[in-house]
Amino acid sequence: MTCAGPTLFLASRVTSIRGLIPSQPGEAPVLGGGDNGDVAALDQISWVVVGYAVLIALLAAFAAYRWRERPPWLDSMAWLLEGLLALRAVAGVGVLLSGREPDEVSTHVGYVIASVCIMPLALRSVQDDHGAWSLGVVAVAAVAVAAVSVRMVMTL
Amino acid sequence: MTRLEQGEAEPTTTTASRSGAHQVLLLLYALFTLAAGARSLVQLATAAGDAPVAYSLSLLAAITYALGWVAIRRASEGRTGFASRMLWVELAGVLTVGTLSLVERDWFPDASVWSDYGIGYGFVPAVLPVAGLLWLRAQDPSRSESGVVTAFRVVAFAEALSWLGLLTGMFFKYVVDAGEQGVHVFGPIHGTVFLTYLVVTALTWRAQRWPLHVAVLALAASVPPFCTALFELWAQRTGRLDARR
Repeated sequence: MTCAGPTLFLASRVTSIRGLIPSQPGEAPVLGGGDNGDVAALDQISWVVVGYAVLIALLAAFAAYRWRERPPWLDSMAWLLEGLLALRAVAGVGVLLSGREPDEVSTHVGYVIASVCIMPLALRSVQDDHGAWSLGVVAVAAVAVAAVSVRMVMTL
Repeated sequence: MTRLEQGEAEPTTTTASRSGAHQVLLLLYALFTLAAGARSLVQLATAAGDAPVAYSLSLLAAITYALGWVAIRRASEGRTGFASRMLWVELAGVLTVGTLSLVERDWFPDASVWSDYGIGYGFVPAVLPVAGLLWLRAQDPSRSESGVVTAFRVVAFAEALSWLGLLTGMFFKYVVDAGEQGVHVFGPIHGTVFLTYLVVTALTWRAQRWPLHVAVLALAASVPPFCTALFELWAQRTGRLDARR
């Protein structure tokens, strides 16, 4: 199996999900979709990522106020966010490999790479520290991920 | 043989350097190094002729952020000399490029990272060196709390002053109909000072251990014109800015 195998498989799943949504008002949904369907599905994942990242930032702020230390479940939530970002990145690469090109490929790919790197680096930098300031690091990383995800939507 | 076994003194800040505000600063500097560096390199590689000054200044900003990261890291280990110079250089860079982008618009057909004082990044580029300088000042235990309070007083006054500038600009734009240059200049300045006020208020809240309702009042004071100055007066009279014992 080549490296592109799983990504193309995921991209085909994304396509089939989008195929259930009609592209024009009054038009019947067509299984299989198209380029626009792929992009719409990617956008949906990106917006879920944005909402979830903002939630993590708010919870980090609340934890800083309430407990002044980082609860273990916040790390779990952050890693779940990373999972979503990895899913978005893999599906996005699959869509790119299937022939769809953003207006600025290098910029978009840069955002995709940045999106999956930010949270692990942030968590790594505070892995031995569960103090109040480590919550600031998680919150800043979550806000950055949200901003990058918005930019991914804008550049695709 | 370890350094301690050899008789070297262990740095007194080692434990303190593990946890603190510098962790957030380091992440922000790393993010801005990445963002400004990638942005400027792509722009210079693909369309350098479109806005050479702006793209070059973005690259300069990326280098500044990389050096700022090194400076903060060294300062967190107790070596503050480089940071005390580098953060002022960064602040001067943001203010100079931000002002030039407003005054000499022909030089900036496309935005740089520091255009309009970093408006494209939510004014974080303007707030970052100020936050860094405040953190650096807090590293000196003899001046830490008074430094934060002094910064709060200065920024609260500056916020009210920036309102005056913005309202004057709006007067000339909407009442006298004499152009919108004043709004163009004072709009970004007010935005920057506003965000700085929010950051400094959060630091003062923590340093002075204000109850939540005082902190909310301080933050809400940034919304109506001139109320930050009124809040500062009230906080001073009620002992909210007195040195903590």
